[in-house]
Amino acid sequence: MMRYVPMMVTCKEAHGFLDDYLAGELPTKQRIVFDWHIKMCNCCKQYLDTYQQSIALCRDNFYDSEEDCEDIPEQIVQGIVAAKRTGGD
Amino acid sequence: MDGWRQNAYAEVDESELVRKIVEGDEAGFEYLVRRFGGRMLAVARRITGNEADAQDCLQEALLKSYSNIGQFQGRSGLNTWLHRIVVNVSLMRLRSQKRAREDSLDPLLPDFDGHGMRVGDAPIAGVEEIEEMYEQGRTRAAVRAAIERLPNDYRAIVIARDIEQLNTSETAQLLGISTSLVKTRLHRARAALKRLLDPVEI
Ligand SMILES: [Zn+2]
Repeated sequence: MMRYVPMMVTCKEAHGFLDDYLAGELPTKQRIVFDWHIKMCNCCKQYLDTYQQSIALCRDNFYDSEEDCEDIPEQIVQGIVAAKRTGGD
Repeated sequence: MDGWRQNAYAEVDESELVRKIVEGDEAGFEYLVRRFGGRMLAVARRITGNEADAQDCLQEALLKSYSNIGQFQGRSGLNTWLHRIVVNVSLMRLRSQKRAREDSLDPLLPDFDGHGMRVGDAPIAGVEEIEEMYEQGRTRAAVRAAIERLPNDYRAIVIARDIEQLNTSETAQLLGISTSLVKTRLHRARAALKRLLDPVEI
């Protein structure tokens, strides 16, 4: 729909800007082009939204501060202390 | 070590504990292992995906922290410092182990037509399981299953960049690859994760 107009990029080209855009590292001119594309193109707008959501989802759900707060088995403690004694200094 | 003697360390603040360990206080090191080891083991397990590697990484990380404890500045807490070390060791481990079978990411990447326009995604195998976990409210399991599907090299980059929030050059340095490779792989990995975690077609 917008591919022959100057200052416009295709979805594929806009897609290539995604990560720099999210990192705030897209040069001004490209950012304007990207913003414009996102405003006009529902597919890419939706893609950008879910792309961001999935990054946040990974960040927030990979660890689990409650579940990951376990006691260390005694034999592992002893193994490490022994390894330090023999290997270390 | 006697329980009461180990408990005595709980009263000691972190810089004091570090000082004791630097001076060669064995019980102090043992306390550090006990106090922080469980959490570090859980982190190593999340990253490497298996218990044996996780235990190896924990040991390596703790021995490394023992050798380097003199460099602990106290600017961040001991917990954060140790976390960073076990993450580094585990990511290196993840990178070095090639899995027997690694699925290509290509089927998970978005498609464009000859004019560079987006086209709908073709169905992919295995997404239903992740979708089901989602529907059952098991978001963490869904996220971990999606990340687990990435080849190790890509998984290491997603963990470094998006979970540990290292920047591109820190990640490149840690994994011993170029910044441009970090960027292209991160992009492919994010696109694949987006696809796996967002079963709704565009
Ligand atoms: Zn578009």
